[in-house]
Amino acid sequence: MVNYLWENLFRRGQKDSEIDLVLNENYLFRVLSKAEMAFIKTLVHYRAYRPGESIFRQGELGVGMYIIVKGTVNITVEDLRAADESQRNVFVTRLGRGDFFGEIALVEQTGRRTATATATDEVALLGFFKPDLAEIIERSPRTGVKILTRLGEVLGRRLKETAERFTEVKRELKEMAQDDSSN
Amino acid sequence: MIQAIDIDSRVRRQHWIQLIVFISIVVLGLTSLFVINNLLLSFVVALVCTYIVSPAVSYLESAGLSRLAVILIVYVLFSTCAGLAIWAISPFFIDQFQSLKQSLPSYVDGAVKLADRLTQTLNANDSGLFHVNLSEQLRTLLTSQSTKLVEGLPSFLSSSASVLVLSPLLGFFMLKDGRQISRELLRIVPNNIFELILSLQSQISDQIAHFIRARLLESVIVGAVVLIGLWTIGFPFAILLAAFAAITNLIPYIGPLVGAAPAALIVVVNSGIGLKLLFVLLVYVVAQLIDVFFIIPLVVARVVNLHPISVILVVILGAEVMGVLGMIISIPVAAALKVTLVNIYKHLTDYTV
Repeated sequence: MVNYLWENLFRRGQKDSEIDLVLNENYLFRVLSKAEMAFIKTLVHYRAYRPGESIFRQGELGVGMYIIVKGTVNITVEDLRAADESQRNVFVTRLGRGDFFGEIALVEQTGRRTATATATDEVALLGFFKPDLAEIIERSPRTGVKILTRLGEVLGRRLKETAERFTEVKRELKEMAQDDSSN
Repeated sequence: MIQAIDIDSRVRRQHWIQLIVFISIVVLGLTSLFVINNLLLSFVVALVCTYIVSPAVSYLESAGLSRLAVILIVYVLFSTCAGLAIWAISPFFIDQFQSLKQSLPSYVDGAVKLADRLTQTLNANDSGLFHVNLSEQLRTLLTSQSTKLVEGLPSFLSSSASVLVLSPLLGFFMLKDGRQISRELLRIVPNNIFELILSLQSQISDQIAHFIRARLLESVIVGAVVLIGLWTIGFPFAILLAAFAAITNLIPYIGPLVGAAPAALIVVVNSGIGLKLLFVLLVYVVAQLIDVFFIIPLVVARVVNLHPISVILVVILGAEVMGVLGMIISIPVAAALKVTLVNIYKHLTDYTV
């Protein structure tokens, strides 16, 4: 009995320190003060997933983002035009501890997930959702502004990366078309 | 492959267990609200208090104070204000109540005489086919009911003491730990419907908060218009009647009629059907016009997006199941159910990119 209690207390303490560490390292929250961070800690949702379990699926309504505390997550996109069903899921990236995903849903009116996120092993995540952000803005506007500014930076950076990737793909296509015409 | 199927079935089993536990807790909570005496009323009152003071709590908290300190400050401020208001109004209220108690026999007499006149007119016109005697039955009914109402009020107030004690206590914990409790409850929700339930909870909470604030504002404005109107025409028991009109205005559809009935009865008994009745009815009609054309479209209708027919049906259903309290809470409950069903339907069917 004593061992059971001790193990649980130890595990809880370990979980708490893991959450602290991940939040302190996270780009959105690392500018916050200690008191603000303690407030954020009371708002985030700790969720555990088994290997292969879906976190969210493409097309579902999404209300927020997840930060990885433990494990790895696969991000895939469903290609509905693929003839072969085995090739329908296109792998995009694998995310690990400290990475975050789904942040666009925090600012979208009725956000739908644009990709599928699946746990590849035992995964622990911290969920941070629209109602939590609204609560921060209502109860501590200063903290809300800090988070929203960082969120704006992240979304801007993602947009820039997408634009660069788009230009790159366009150039590659153009080069391919030129190669075809020269051959 | 076999291992993948095994994991999949284990995940599904875990989701089912979590869902059953979550639903059981919700059902248990709702059942205890209905089963334990006075708990539902205390809960509704606490919820109303919480939604009224929560913007003030959040505002003060945003200035950097701790939530517990802010709640205590707001509670002390509100109790002081309420105490002062009761202290200031109660002498008028008690005077009017005593005066009403003394005048009740004369109003009963007046109503009986009115019924007498009506009986005579009816008996004179139907050439003896039906013999109607309204006055005796009416006298018995009015005497018993009015005595019961006046004498039963203090005992009603004392029996409501549990509600008066329990509501602020529940309200305090709702403000202090409400979000934490809902967060703990959300921990049990299975992963596959977690975001749906979180979104639902947030939407329903927002909708109920807006609805409660809108309806209270509506009642206060209607009560104030009635009070000003009755004072202007020099009508007796203005504070009592305005308070009654404000409270009954919370009951959809029949509330305004019930609210106006005592004033109309008093004027008919005292002065008969005439100009004074017209003035009194005008006061209530103006209050209702302001309500219907300004307050409802600008404040209430934006909050609850329900068709008028649905509103009538749910109000009737609420009255059937739980009486007056059912009529008052039927609309927000129906709105919450609508949000739930629409979201679940979207989650299950609208699966498009």
